[in-house]
Amino acid sequence: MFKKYFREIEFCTYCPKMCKFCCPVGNASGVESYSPWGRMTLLHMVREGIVDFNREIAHTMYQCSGCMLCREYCDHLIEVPLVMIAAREKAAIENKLPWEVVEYFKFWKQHQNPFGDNLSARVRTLLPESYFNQDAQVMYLPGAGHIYNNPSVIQDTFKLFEAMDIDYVACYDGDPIDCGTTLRELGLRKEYGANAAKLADKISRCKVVVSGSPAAVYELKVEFEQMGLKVPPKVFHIAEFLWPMVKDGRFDVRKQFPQRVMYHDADYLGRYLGVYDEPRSILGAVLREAPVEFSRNREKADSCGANGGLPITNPDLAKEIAKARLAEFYESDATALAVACPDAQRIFQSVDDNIEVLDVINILARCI
Amino acid sequence: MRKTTPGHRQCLPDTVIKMPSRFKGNVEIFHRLKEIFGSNRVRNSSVETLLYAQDISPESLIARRAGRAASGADFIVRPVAVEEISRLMRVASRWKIPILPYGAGTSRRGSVAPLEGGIVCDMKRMNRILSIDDESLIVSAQAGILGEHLEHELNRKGFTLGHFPWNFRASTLGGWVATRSAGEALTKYGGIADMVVSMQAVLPDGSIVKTRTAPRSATGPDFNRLLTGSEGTLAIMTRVKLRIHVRSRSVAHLSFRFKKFSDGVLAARQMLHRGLRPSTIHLFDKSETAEFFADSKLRLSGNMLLITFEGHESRTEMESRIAEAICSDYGGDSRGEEPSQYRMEHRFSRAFRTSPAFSRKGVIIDTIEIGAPWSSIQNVYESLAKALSKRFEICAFLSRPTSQGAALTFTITAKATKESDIDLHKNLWDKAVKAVQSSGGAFIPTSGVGLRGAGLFAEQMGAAHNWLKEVKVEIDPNRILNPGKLGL
Amino acid sequence: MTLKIPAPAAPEIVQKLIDIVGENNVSVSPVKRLLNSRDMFPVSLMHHAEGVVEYFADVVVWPENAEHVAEVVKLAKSIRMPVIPFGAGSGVCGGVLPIHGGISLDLKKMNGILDVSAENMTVVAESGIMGQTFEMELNRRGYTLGHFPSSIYCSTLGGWAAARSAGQLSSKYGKIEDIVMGLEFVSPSGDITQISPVPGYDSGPDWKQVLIGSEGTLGVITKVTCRIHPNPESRRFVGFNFPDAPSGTQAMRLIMQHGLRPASMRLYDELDTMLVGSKGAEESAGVGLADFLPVTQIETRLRTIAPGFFNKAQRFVARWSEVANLLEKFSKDGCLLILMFEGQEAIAEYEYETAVRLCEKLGGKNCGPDPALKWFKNRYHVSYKMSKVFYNGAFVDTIEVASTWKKLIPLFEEIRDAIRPRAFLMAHFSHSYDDGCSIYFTFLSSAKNSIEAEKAHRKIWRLAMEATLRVGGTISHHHGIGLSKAEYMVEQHGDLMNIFRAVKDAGDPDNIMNPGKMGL
Repeated sequence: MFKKYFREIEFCTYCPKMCKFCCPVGNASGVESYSPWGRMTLLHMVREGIVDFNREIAHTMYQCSGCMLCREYCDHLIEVPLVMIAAREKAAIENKLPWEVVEYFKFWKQHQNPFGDNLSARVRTLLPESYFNQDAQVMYLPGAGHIYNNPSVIQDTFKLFEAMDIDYVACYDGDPIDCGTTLRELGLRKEYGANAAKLADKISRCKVVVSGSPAAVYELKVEFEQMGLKVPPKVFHIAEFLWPMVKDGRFDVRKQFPQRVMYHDADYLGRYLGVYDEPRSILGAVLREAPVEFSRNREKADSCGANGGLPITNPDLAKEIAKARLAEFYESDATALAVACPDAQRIFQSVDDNIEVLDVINILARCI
Repeated sequence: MRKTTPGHRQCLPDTVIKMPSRFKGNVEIFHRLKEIFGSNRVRNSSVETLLYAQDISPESLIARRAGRAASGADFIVRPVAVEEISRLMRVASRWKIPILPYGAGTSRRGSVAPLEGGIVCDMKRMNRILSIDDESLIVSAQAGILGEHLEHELNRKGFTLGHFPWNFRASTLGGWVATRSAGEALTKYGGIADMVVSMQAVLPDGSIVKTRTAPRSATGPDFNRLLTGSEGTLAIMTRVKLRIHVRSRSVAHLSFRFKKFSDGVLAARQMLHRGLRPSTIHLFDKSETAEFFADSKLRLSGNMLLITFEGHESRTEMESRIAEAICSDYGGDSRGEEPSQYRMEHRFSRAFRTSPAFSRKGVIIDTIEIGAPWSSIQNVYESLAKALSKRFEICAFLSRPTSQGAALTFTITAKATKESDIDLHKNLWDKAVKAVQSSGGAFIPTSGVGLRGAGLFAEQMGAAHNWLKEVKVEIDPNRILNPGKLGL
Repeated sequence: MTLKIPAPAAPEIVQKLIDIVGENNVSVSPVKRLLNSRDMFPVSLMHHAEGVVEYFADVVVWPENAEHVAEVVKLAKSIRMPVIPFGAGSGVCGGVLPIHGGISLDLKKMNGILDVSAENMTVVAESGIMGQTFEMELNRRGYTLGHFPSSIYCSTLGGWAAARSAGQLSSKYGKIEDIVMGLEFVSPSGDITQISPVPGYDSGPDWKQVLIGSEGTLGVITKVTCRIHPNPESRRFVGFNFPDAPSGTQAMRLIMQHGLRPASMRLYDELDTMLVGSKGAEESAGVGLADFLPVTQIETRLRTIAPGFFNKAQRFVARWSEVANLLEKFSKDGCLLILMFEGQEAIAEYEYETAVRLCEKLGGKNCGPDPALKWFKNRYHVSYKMSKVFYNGAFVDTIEVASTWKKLIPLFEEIRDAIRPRAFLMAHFSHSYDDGCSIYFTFLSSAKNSIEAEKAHRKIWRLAMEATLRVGGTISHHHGIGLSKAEYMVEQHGDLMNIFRAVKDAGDPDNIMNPGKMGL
């Protein structure tokens, strides 16, 4: 890790904290050691032998939501989350995992997903049997979070397919179904790799994979690729997949969504995958007024705190971050918050179950 | 009053501060602190206290590059209410344990370095905007708010504070006020001291004080201006009311190239003397131009004078025309808007030069900020260049002009060859001090005098420094507030 | 009635002073001592009108340079004799009254202009230079200080800095603390220090701003470095009529917040405007107060013939002030806002035109330049009126407070309602900022004798100060504290007074510098 990320650790240590203002974890906690500078400086001191890589430092490495805002504002384009994951892998190897991570992994191992329940079986209850054709060339990979928390997104997706006469997309119900993002984020590289290999094996024969989970798209497109696994040639987020069809008028937008909607760019969809326009365009097609924008949006969007394993290692902090993000929503005249990510949807709803948090797919589906 | 020895100058202290702490493991203090702050907001971990003791001063970077680190304080507390700080003062007084107020820790001169252990008082949990009076154009905010967040929130509501110091992205409002920081738009908006309407603070005896919220008073000393710049040695600020402005609808950009730096200086001065109030003026010397625009598509060289005007369009147009005439009179070639626009978009990027420099073995980089009246500016620039150019690489720019003078900022790099990097850095400052003092300038570190700047500060303040020292003894007899900083 | 004059300073002390500054520069003459023991504090004027002088300096000393000052101060410290720095004695707060006797340190011989820098737009002058002399010399060289208190004919640069003064054109040129860039200061232990030796550029606490406004309680200002400006190329004047104070102050606020910097912007309340008239009476606006009193030359002669008649007339005005104040109800003239812009031609023109457009948009009636021109021509005349009032057995005083815009009208109304039953009252708003404004109240009243007058005067002040502290504002915008407001310092500053006391104790442990002032 120290060799691979030598430059990153050097540069962050000597930097006058230029990303201080944008780190959601640093801001929500006010703790210096939870800021990018803090964490990287600690790693530097470990490397130089000033401190040992003890449990406390290992725990500090987990105080990062992986949102990549630090890179966004860094002239040197340092990607601190990647260094964090490498440090967490070191913690795993050296048996210095935070107890929350150990507990999480135990649970995951038991269920092969973060939620318990047989998700593959669950997804089969959501849609008619005909959709589960494992030989299909175009496969919809449901996010584990959607299956467990917001199955309506999956159902609405297929409702949309139906409305557009798309019958060639099948829904994946194989095993494994969780792409293991959280495993990777928590530094459980070995287990992640094993799971990834199995998943890749199952879907590699597809030509196109579509998912409503930006993290899943990222895993396949980037991480699996990097590991040398065979990956379908085209992997899309559902918004990328659907927008061209909506644009072409493949289906009748019969109703106009009556509420004022505010759109939040999820970290994985935005800064990791670079998808900003398609969800907005889809919303633009069905909303009466253009979606309300956060003052910090697109590449600069503040994080919801749902990633990086933070909800596991520091759930209160993750919720603080989500709450902070909601402040502008409360101030605006929007009555619904639109996202295109199951993790964002889950954390916002858990912070305030009185607000309406909808996936872009839900909104589109209501308008056909 | 005790007299000071003439020519007193504190040597640059050791790079690494290693002091045995008297309070390590003091269970009773820890217990008392937990009573005040709750166990969530008190920490005494050696890792965390160690991290808080590292700052971004060149001395700290040099040390850590060599595998050494300054000793940490003993505890870290995170207050959320002013009463907690009041109680903290009383605990600290009882045990005579120093308190180190901490914002974002981006002083370049060690303003938050713990010299004798103590309690770091991290203000960042007191970070709310309390109110915006849009009739009087005053914002009230807690001292721990990050400056960028404050400005962003004001922008959202159509206002601006107009304060953009070099470390804008990593500094708190309390840090700004405590270090009397100056932003690049000082010419139009003033420095932080001009923006403060009133503040709430806690004195070392625990009393909570407030200055009067009124535009101006003739009621004796201006306590706002005594506490502003006191760097946590006289009080801990908790809440500040600031003057804000309606955000300008129009920004005009002008850029001019000058063959000679001195001509650019004259043009800048003349603009101020004619009554123009640009929001920013920057005059880059040749090296700074080359360095700053290196990654841009613009092909620029020479001394670049970059000007912005903000305000109502008719006004900025009028002022721009006058400015153009003046610059042309002094031999400036217009280069349109782009160079100035580029500068504004990348105005904080200079801070990114530190990392590549320090990651090269033996290399040091430091920033020296000097204020001088117009009559000395060219002299200061030339003297410093002359004193340093043999051994050091220098980039310089002029900014924050007023009718009386301007600030010169030098970014200085060098690679240690025969000597150690510490000695090289000392050599740099020795030469710089001689050159600046003999040419009529003053050192004005905008992110705090702190520890390393204390000697020069005391010298510049003269006999009044002794007076301030005695005031400190009276107000803070137990020396609990940031002892050793500002030379107090 | 003979005035009882206390004994002067002991001969040994006088000799020691002569050894320092020379025989010409020391005096124990009763006349000199008397004249250096008074200022324009209305309460002492009331007493003087009855031939009572309460305080006497023991000796008057005229230093000629900072070294003299240092030696005198050191001597005074060694014998614990008070030292009261004295400029021209125009303060209205009793700031230079030697309530514990002592040395009146008259700085008027230190009145040189030492350096004028065109490059830096600065001037260095000795603190004893008279305001108008200073300004005229600067004008001659093509500059202006931009500082025009109404006492400019009779106040010194050092007095300005010590008292934290503001001039009538402060909205453009700033207050004294904006003008003063550096000081040479003699501390009570006799150190001569340069504060802010590189003017305008320093770090750390602003020690200059501890000394400015300290009213002689911390030491002696001997030299001041000031910022100057080129003489204005052009001036524009205009007067506007607004229906009432709220609409007028709103115009002032919007003009400042627009980014304009009028040299002068003053709004007169309804009564003031009515007495003077928007069209501009013969005398200046805001001065009609004294003009309302029948005290012309002829009347003064008549007074000696029939004093009773005129005393009654004064008292009618003063005692029936409530009735007099009702005149406002007949006022149809609204409030007069006068504006003056000056400076570089294009900028002054731009600001003038923008302000005119703004005022018109806000419903102001353009009265042309005359009202403003009249004000400008007569802007110092108010000071001449004071004598007439006191001469006729009444008293007049001013209360000047300031607050944010939000609190301005509530503050104005509270003070006005508190004073109206007790005195004839007029007010104007001036010294505007982006965030607030100052209110200047002038009140006139009278009583049977000076004891009653003092009581009434004190009562009015207490009501006004309490209102200010309650509503939220500052008890003095530019007149200072001195004696008159010393009792309110604790309420104004709270525990911050401990810092002031710490500064005082550290610098002047023997309390020789202007003791008994400012609540210290």
